[in-house]
Amino acid sequence: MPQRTIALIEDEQVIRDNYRDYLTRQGYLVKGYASRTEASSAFARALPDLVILDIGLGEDVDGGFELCRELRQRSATLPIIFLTARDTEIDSVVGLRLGADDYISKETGLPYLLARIAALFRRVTAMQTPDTGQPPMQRNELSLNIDRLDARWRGVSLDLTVTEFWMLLALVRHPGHVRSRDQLMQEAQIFVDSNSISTHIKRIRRKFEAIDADFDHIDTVYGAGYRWKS
Amino acid sequence: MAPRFRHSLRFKLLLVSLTLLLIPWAGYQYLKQLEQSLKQSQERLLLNRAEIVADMLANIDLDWADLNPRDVSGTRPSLYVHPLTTPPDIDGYPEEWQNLSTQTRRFNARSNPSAAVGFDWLAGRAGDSLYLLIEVYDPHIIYPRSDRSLDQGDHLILAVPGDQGKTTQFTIGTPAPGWVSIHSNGAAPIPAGLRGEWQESDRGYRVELQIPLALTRGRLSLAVVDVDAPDQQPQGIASTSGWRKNINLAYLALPNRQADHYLSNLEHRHYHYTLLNRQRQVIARQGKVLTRDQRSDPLWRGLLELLFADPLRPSFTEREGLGELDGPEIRQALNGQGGVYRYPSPDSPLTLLSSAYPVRLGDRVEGVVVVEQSTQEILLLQQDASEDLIGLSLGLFLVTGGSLLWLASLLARRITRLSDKYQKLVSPDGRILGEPETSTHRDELGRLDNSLASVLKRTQAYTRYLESMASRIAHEFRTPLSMIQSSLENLQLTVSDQAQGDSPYVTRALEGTQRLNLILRRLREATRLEQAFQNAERVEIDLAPLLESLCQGYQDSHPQIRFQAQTPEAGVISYINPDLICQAVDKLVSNAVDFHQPETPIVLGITILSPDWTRLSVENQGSNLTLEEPGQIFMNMKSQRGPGQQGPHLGLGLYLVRLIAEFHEGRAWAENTPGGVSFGLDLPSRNESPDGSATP
Repeated sequence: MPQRTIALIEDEQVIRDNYRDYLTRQGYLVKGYASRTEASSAFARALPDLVILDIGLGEDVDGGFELCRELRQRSATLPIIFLTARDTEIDSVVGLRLGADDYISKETGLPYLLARIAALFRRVTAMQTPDTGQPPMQRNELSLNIDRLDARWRGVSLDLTVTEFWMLLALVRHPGHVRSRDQLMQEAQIFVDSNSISTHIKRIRRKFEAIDADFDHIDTVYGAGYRWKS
Repeated sequence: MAPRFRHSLRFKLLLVSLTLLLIPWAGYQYLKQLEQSLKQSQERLLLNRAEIVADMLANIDLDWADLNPRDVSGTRPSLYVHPLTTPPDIDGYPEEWQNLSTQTRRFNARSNPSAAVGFDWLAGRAGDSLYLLIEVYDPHIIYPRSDRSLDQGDHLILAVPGDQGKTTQFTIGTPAPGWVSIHSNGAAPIPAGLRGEWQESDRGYRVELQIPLALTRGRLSLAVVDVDAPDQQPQGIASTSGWRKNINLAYLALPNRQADHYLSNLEHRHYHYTLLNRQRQVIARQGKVLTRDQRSDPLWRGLLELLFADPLRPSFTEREGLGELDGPEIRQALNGQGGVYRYPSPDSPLTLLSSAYPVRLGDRVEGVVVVEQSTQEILLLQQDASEDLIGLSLGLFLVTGGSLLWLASLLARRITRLSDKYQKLVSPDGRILGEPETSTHRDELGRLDNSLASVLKRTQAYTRYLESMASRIAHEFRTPLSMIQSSLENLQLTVSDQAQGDSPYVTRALEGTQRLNLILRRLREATRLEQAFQNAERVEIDLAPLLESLCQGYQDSHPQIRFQAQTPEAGVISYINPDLICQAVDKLVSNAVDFHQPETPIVLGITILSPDWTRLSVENQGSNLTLEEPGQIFMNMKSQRGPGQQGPHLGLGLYLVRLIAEFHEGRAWAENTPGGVSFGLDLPSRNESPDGSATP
């Protein structure tokens, strides 16, 4: 397997270097760019296998979003992860609407980033070799293909981010059991305040409801957490 | 809160408007002056009138010699004869004399003061006859045995001028009450028309006599002889004057017909004219004084009397008596000078104005003309003016006072509204709750409103800046923290690559950064919450099952602690966002878990405060709060945790609780309970009564 190339667009020199060093040590070929123009011109020559994007790039406040849009136009399947210090609801909504595969905070440690990168590459591989992996997990009308990070409700793809997929997986794995917020955080490999867990759950629910208006399998257990109701 | 009325603007303006009462006062002073000048001019006019009448009387042919009895000694009495409109019946009863009853004159026995005899004299004239009413005081009436011996009993002696300086005397008596018998002392016959009636009275007897006027020739004397034993000397004799010699007889002061007739031709509806001789005896009298105040009602009169009371002077009824008139002005006139005097009337608020002017014949004062008039006209005028004045002042006072009061109320209401507006805009713990509306008024109050609003806006901006400080600090810290964290993660990898396993220092440093991350996350949580409010959906939900479910959840998460839920039977429907409320309760429970005394339960309760309010509370046993400033504990970065507590605590939990409470139009509170603390939220709700029906 050829060495995977990862493009890291981050205006902060130290962070860029640290990330590049860490990921390089994990066997990836990492190219760092400090600005949108720099990255754009590089991408014009060749696309990387995965892109890690910061939103604010120096003076270019929304440079990350712009770059994301450009990249998505060129490739529908290129994995894109937003890695940012911004954590407002609006930022994440915009980012995800632009087709990013995940949106994580900078405080999320490098090991967790690594897990996401690995998962995304695993999906790329799975996509390229159709129907070879294990059969998808079935819950009610939900089918989960863990390698492809693909969740389908009544056969329609839910289009979940990596974090959302892992969260849903954690719920579905033990139907009827309450998963606390901390458990969900752990399984989704993110560290955020517990309030943003409910935001994530809400977003997952909404994606279900877009397909099935009467969807009510994700149950809130006040004071405890959430559970998958069969 | 409205100030007490005594301290209010309204009261102050009302006080100021009291100065309007100076208007009626000034008017009153003016009226007083007016009255004074009116009185003076009335006096002058009245004196003029008296003078004119006196001058005219001096020019008509009056027999002043007859009117003024030649008075040699100056001490001889004269007897006044009242004019009578109709001749009285000679019946011995005083009914016809009733209106003159105050004019009687008393004569007592002069020789023997101890003698009880005395009589009241009253004389009147009608036509050509003189009428006498003699009221004799005699406890022992002795009647003579027969008509022939009248001097053997109580009797009267009437003396009239006779020949040769001696008087003609008539003895008048009777053996029994009834017509009197009359004996002449000489050979003179009893003149026709001389008759009388004798009647007993309570105190003695009464004799009513008719005497032909011609008989008297202007002079007479009457004596009452009191006999207590038929054969003895008389006990006492009372007489009007000596009765044996002509010269001793008293003069009769008779009303003069000519003068009377002259006076009757004068205007006499409002004036009372009296002509007096030098003895101040009334010679002629015409006209009358209006003494009845006909038009005003007692209330006005009382009020005006109070305002225009005159200093008291002797009542004018006392100046009249015995057919005489007396008074300072009359005495002055007798001395040759016209004068005016004022008498108060005892039974009306009027005063009597009396002017006197001498009637001169050459240098000699022969009589006095007295003209009397009541002050009725002035009083009426004054009354009208006063009524107008009082009415006008009252109206003016009402209008101005009313306007001032209205203005004061308006201002007070606006000030109160202004105060309320800003009171509502700032919460009890000092936060600014909303944008003040700017005032459209352009006056000082409007400007005050706008300036307060701008002050508030600036304060609000500053408060926002301070409140957002935490989240901005958190944001700014993230990048450097990320640098450290990623460097440490690299270092950890390097160290483990060099095969000595994990360096404890790197691990500890990483733990530190994780802790820092946690702090930053907590700091950001508040900011995130405010964002969450923007798209938080609210639903109507029964709080009781929610709290019970929460309680179950906490019990599952903390098996070592006992949780109790105390919820009412009836439903407590509240319009809330359950996630946010749960988050708030989470914070309170997490606090309670940290502070509770081991082995004691944590109580989650719902209390119905009113049909519209419900209280969610989380109570635990443990140390009390030091609640110096209630509400402060719900402030950003305020923590009461002592040292030695585990985990980072920034005092954000309760701040979030407060934000959530306020998002639901409720409030967060904290209080000490016996042996513990209680925290909670008061939320608006629709509470059902226990029978299940919703209260309105």
